[in-house]
Amino acid sequence: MSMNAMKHDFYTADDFLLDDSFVAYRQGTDPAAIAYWTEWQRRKPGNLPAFREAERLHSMLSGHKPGLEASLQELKTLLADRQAETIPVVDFQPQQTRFQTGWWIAAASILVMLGLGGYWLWQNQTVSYRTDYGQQKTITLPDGSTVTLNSHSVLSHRRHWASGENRDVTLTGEGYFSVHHLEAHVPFRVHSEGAFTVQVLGTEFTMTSRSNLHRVVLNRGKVEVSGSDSRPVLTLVPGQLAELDSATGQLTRREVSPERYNGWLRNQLVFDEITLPEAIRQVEEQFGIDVRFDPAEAGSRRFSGILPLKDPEKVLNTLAVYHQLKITKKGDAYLLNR
Amino acid sequence: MPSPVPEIPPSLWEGLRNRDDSSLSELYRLTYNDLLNFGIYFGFTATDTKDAINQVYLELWERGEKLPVVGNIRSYLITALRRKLLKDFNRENHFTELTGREPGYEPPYEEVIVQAQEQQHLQQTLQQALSQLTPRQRQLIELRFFRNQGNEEIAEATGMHINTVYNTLSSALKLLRQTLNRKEKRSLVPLWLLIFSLLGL
Repeated sequence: MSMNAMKHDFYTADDFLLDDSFVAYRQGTDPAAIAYWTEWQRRKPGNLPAFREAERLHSMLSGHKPGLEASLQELKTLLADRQAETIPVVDFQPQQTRFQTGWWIAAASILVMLGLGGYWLWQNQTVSYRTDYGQQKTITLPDGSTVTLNSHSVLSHRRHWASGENRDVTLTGEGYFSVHHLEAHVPFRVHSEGAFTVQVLGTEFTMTSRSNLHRVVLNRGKVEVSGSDSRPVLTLVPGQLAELDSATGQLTRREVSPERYNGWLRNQLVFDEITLPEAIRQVEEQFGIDVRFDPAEAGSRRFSGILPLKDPEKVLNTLAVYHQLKITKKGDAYLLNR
Repeated sequence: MPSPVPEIPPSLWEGLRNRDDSSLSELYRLTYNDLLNFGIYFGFTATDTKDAINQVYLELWERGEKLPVVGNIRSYLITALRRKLLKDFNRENHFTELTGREPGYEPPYEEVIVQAQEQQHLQQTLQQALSQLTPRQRQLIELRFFRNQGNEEIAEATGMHINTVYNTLSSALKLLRQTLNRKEKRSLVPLWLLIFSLLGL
């Protein structure tokens, strides 16, 4: 090993690419080679730039394939999660929250007291549904459309929708909408606090409206996204994403795989070419946990993958391994560092 | 172009149907690169293909003993992956490229690998770099970096001496790196030209 290490310290980029053990490390096919070359890099040998150049060229010539063992590991975590889980978390039965039952009682008394006037008021009451961290809930709206709420989200709407009248809901958090097209072509609008409004006739889409992330991803049909000001609306076709840049207030649109954004419906956490800070934000929002790390150590590597939604520690572990960081638990918080 | 695909023992499929963990891992290792190549040839990114492969295996595992007994495991997996990619991982822009293209059609390696680069300027540079190689050099680069073959395997498959394999690959890599590095610096050239011409004046 030490002889090898000596030899490897004088390798040029081409020497690395001609070495079967280096290629096995890049392909992720040989655990021993992966362990060896990972350790070798830690020593920061003088020819590390040549090593990096070899890595870049290998990635290009292989079509940027992800390594085998890492991909298999991802599959294993997905499988372990499936086996442990017997009751599906996603509940596709319409549920009434306690909150709503409260309103029913309140509404009933108003009805008795105020008669028709009360009835009118009741119809105009706002109903809210909310989910805790790690919880999901499917709601059926007055027109038969459904919304599945992801973790830590709130959806509200007026209790009664008169026929021919606009259908308006407000979302904070994240939800998957399946909107019925009504014969009267009545628009369906989703509002997010101060960010933008999505208007549709009948479609399926995922909408996210969290502190500094406002996003719509369209699966089917057609939607129009309009910002809070009077900028022109964006029209999305299936497979497109619209996002509000919180810094500039600009709405942008790009092509994506919609399946990557509603993985949570299938108990999966999907990462799409994202940096560590973005991944951590996603994990914190999903599980309501506190993760600390030094942004200086985050690097610029981007991670893509599908991980199980049940266990935050498994997710954090995978991210830590990928970014070559260690994970420790400190009180209620998780700490990521070198 | 030879596309060596490892033999898949039928016992692995039987193991998968019985939810045997080590059969799953072995089958995965044997088929991973072949399936990835299929997805890439089909116009999908390597990352999307990897995720689709995992979803296919996840579903196979869940079906367990309900899985049919399969004669040709490879083509069964490829069909499943193809369906998964088209159904769940389809992006609009890929779809337009895909229609009419038969899954059996294999475009040449250069074309595929150039398509796989996300940045436009890299696509052009790589295309130019690859076009400077001899057909033999291109073949060896494909076998080594895309078909995942070791130096000795390549020697065996092509009937070349192992030293010739090394030398051919070595000269090919040198050419590739030269072109790629030169192109990276090219953006600076106009500035130098400007300075020189000013000095000349």
